[in-house]
Amino acid sequence: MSRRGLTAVELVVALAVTGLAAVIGSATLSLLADRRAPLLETSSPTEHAAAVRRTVIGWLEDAHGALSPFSGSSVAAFELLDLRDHGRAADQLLFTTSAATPLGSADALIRLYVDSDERTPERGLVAELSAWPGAAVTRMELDSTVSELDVRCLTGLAGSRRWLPTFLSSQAVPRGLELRLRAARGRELAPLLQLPIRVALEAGR
Amino acid sequence: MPRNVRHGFVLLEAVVALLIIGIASAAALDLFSAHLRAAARQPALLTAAALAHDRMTALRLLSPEELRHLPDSLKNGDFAAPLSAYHWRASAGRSREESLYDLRIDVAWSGGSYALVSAMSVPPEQTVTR
Repeated sequence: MSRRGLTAVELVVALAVTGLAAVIGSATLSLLADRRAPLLETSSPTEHAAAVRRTVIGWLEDAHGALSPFSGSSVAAFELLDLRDHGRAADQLLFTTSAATPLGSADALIRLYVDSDERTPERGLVAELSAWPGAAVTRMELDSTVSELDVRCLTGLAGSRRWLPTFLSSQAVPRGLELRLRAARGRELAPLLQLPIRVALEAGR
Repeated sequence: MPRNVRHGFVLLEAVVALLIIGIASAAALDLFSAHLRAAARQPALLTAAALAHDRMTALRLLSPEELRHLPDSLKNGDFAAPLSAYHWRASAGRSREESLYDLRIDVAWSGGSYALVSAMSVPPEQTVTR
């Protein structure tokens, strides 16, 4: 039996070949990894924009006209104010929702507005949540690039369907809502936020 | 010459070892590329899902009359820039259930398509009986 091991030269050659293959392999891998970086960059704003849409739509779909037992009679159940601030649309939405919020699964009062106040840390589209009118508020920055909020609502009262810029009721909610967001000059919204956010309210049907 | 007792690797053993390493690294590379493909598809799918939901909402906001005779502007079209790469098609048809409408949205782009199916109750057409 002539079982002879590899000589040193053979072993070195084998290692050199393996090393060469590894170098080529890692070069290909880093090429793939480079292609990966921009992919993740574009995916993250898309994820964010989709999450903002989902959040706002989820809250508004479950908006209802019933006042929470804590609220005073002076509070409207659903309020859409058509406001302007320095020539920019600065509408405000105030509603009660039964959807799950960061406050929990109980009813929450939500004010949706554009925050241009320099003194608060939040910027852009902000939601202000509270458990009942006058309770401590929790602010959530939804998207900091938003500088204009323009909302109109679809009402179906008495069979006449119309889009209106304002809505104020202590019992009813509109059938539908359309929120248009715009960015400040020189900035651009994520593509998904440039598409108006349309909501069909369950309680408004 | 003294008898050599220090056996090294036989060539066959080395080849087998290299083969095992090669197969393992090929499998790892394949997993990585599958992950890349999924990552590349995800933003488009997320966008398409949000767009389909938007068109579905547009249908839900229609009056029963409009739903019965869907306006052409709501049957199909392209989304406005910067989402013009996505095309949508909508259909609403009476379901087998009375007063129920089947709604369907198809969003298509160069890399795939996304379908959203739903149903909505619509009050039956009013008939005057007197």
